[in-house]
Amino acid sequence: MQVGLSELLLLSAGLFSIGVYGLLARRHAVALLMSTHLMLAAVIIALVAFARFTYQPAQPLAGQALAVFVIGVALAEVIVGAALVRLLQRQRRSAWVDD
Amino acid sequence: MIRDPAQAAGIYLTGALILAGGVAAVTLRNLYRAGVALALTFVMAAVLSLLLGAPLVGLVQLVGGVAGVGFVLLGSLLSLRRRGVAGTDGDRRPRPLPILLALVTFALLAIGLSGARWAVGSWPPTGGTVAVLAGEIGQRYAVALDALGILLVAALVGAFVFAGRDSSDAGAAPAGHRRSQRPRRRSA
Repeated sequence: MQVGLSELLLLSAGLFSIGVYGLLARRHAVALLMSTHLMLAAVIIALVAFARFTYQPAQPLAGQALAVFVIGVALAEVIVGAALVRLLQRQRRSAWVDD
Repeated sequence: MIRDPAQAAGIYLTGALILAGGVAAVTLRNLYRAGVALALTFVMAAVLSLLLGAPLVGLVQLVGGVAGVGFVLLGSLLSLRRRGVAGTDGDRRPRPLPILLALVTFALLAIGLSGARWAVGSWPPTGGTVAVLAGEIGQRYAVALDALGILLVAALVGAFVFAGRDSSDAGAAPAGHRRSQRPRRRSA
C-alpha cells in the first residue's frame, strides 16, 4: 500500500466537488459558508500535498506557507460572512438567500 | 511516494473520514449537525497534515478551522435561533443540476491533475519542517504575513460594524409583510 501525490490530489478534487455541490444546492446562508470552507479545506490539502511531494530546497515548504495564509483568509472570510448573515437576518427576518 | 504501510493506511482512513464529513456537512438538513460534521472534517484535515509532515499547518488548521470556523458558524446558528430563524435548510428534494455540476467539476479536476507531471522533490528538509516553515514565513513571506494580520483586523472591525448596527436600521419588514400594510380603500 502506498500513497502518492495523485491520490491526495484526487482527495482534494473530491472534497472540492462536494463543496461545489453544497454551494449550488443549499439555500441557507450559513450552509453556503460551510460549503465555501469545504472548498478551502480542499485547497489546503492540495497545497500540503504539493509541499510534501514536490519539495525543492530553493523554495522550501512554499505549499505549507501558502496553506497557512489560506487558513488565515478563510478565518477572515467566515468572520465577515457571519456578520453579513446576521445583517441579512435583521433586514429580512430570514437567513435563506432566495427570500 | 509514501510506502510505509501504517502511514499509508492512516492517510487512506483519514481521507475517507474527510470525504464522509464533507458529504455530511452539505447534506444534513439540521445545520447544527452539519456544523459539527464540518468541524470534524477540519480535525481530520489537520490529522492528514500531520501525517504528511506538516505539524504547524495541522495546528493552525485545528485552531483556525475548528475553533474559529466551528465556533463562529455555530455561534451564528445559535444567534439566528434566538431570533426565531430555524436551524434547518428545509428543502429535501434532490437537485440534479448541482449534482451534475459537482460531478463535472470533479471529472475536470481529476483529468487535469492526473494528466500533469509533477517534479518530485527530496524529503524531509534538514532542520525539521516547523523550523524551516517558521523561518520562511518570517523572512520570505513577512510582507504577506503582515497583510494577513491587517486583513484579519479589518475583518474583525467590519464584523463589529455590521453586527452593531442600530436596530432601527434593520426595522424594515420583509416584502411579503409590506403588502398587507397597504392602506385599504374606504368604500363610499
